[in-house]
Amino acid sequence: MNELLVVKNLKKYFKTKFGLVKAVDGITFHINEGETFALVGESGSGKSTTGHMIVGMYAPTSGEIYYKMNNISVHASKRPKNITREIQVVFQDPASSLNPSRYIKDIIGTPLKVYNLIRNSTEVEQKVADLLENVELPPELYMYRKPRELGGGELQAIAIARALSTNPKLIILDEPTSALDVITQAKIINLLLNLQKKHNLTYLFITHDLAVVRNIASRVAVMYLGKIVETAPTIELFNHCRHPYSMMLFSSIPVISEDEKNLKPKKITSIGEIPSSLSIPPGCRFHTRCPYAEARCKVEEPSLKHINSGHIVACHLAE
Amino acid sequence: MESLLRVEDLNVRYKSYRGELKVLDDVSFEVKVREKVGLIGESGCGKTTLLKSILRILPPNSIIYKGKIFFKNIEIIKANKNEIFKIRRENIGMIFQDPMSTLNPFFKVKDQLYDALRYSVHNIKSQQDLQQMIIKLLKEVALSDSERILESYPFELSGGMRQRVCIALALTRSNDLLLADEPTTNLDVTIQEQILNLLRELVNKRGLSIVLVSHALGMVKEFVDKIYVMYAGQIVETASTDKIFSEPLHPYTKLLLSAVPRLTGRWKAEGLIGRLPDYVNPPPGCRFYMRCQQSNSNCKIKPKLLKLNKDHSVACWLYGDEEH
Repeated sequence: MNELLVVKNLKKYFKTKFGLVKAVDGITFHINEGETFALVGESGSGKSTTGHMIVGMYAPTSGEIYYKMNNISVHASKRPKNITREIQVVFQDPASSLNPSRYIKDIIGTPLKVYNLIRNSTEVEQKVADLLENVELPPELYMYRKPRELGGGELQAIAIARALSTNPKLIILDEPTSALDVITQAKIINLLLNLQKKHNLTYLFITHDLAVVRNIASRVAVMYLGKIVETAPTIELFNHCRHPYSMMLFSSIPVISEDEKNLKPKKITSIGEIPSSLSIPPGCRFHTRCPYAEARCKVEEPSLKHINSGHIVACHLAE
Repeated sequence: MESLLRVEDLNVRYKSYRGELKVLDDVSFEVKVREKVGLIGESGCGKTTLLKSILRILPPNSIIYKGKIFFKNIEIIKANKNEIFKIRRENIGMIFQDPMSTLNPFFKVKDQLYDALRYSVHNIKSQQDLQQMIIKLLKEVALSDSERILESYPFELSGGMRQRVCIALALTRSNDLLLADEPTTNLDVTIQEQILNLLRELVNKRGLSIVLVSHALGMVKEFVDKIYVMYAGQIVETASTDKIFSEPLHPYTKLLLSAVPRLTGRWKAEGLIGRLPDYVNPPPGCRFYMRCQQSNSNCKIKPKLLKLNKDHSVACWLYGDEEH
């Protein structure tokens, strides 16, 4: 399969008055064309920072991002316009990512103008109507309304319509459903899956909800404190996860049926919280919370081991 | 078991510029002593309104149109200020959804806990006494680094720690009942599990009753004994937890369960058309009627919550035909 996006040893450090925050600390992965790649982990593990670097909200400290073999490890303003057009983003909280007092037509119409995708102002209306229909919102009801009048699910659909307005190839979905209730979440996920089929989109899906990941992603990378600890195809990861952190995440998922309960790995009770990225523990970053930690985990950082095709894990105990 | 809290035919409305929003519609609800009750339903279906009316902390534009709330034989709606204050101070505690906006960002955790304790507990003799009570309280919610936490402002703590402080605040005044309004919504799964274990332990140790409001169904399933399903301000089904998950009856309950992503894969949520009705002019019959795929002409008349057996009631014309 074609590799659409390749990320190599990507790092992002932020200077703060308390010291250096190592938000992303050397991660490597690739995303194939047309697939859904999920990045999971707790808050503070660097998932969103990774997404933001790919969109170009800030340049990486070191490392490279390649999009269709072009090096794009710079801020979006320095990237060629045809590439920024093809990478779009949908944020977690639609209420704060859409201007509450602009008309929906203007919100979705702005990217069209920025990228010169329309010739005159009458065309805007037509295009926006098509886009709204695309996300299953009747245009005549939504075109001249403002985000403050709408609910979470509708707003997220509008954020998706805005991302689609430039005919992107890759969409970064930064926790698109975590602010929504189950029914609205199901609606939005269904919409995203339909759109993916229709427009042959590639998704980078950032989330901490593993049950959603199981249903839509083809490959998963688990992140902890700025590092990827395990990467595998979804089914492989769910059946044979090897890293204790992945196991902890899995065993914390609340489930509603017996079949699901049997799928969960051996119970690892969640203890402690993710440490601050200001003072990253030496050795394996997870050893402070790991029930299996040994002496060498505290000093020696584990390297990535290939278990079998596409399954990579960073743990001393996975042999 | 003895009944602790009983809500009877509660109707709550909000005044708005478009007219009255008829949110709660004949809600009846019961919590027994030491019982764990779950309340589920999508956003905007009146779960929080119900909890707030129990404590009488509804916003000023609300009207309690009809209904009664009994807490240990006290009629909460008719109670005078002193009685209400006493209940808030000694009997019922509430954990709110967003720990960031519950805690005041301008005051240290210490000061907020001091205030809560001074308000609820009367026999405090000295400053040391108070200090000790606070440290004991923080230990109970598994916050070990108590000195640092007491001296911090809320924004200096992580989401999980903030929620633990909020639980501690609620514990200062709940000797009988804890109302938990989506206590884990904004937290990671790992922290969510920790908070739930903590709540379970506290509730069992102190012998409290709890009402857990959430739309994370997996979490509710692991926690509660009995579930009320709410849609658009009406209770549509109530049963023991096992019954709700093994044999859901109301079409809305079935829809809600089908929307939960499964670990087994092959998740396909179907039939999710439409949205909550407009509360200014809600449909006269069953409020779920417009979205229901099994609706018929009967549904324009409001179904009663019909008791099918000892612990399963449902408000739907598909069940128990003529008795409505």
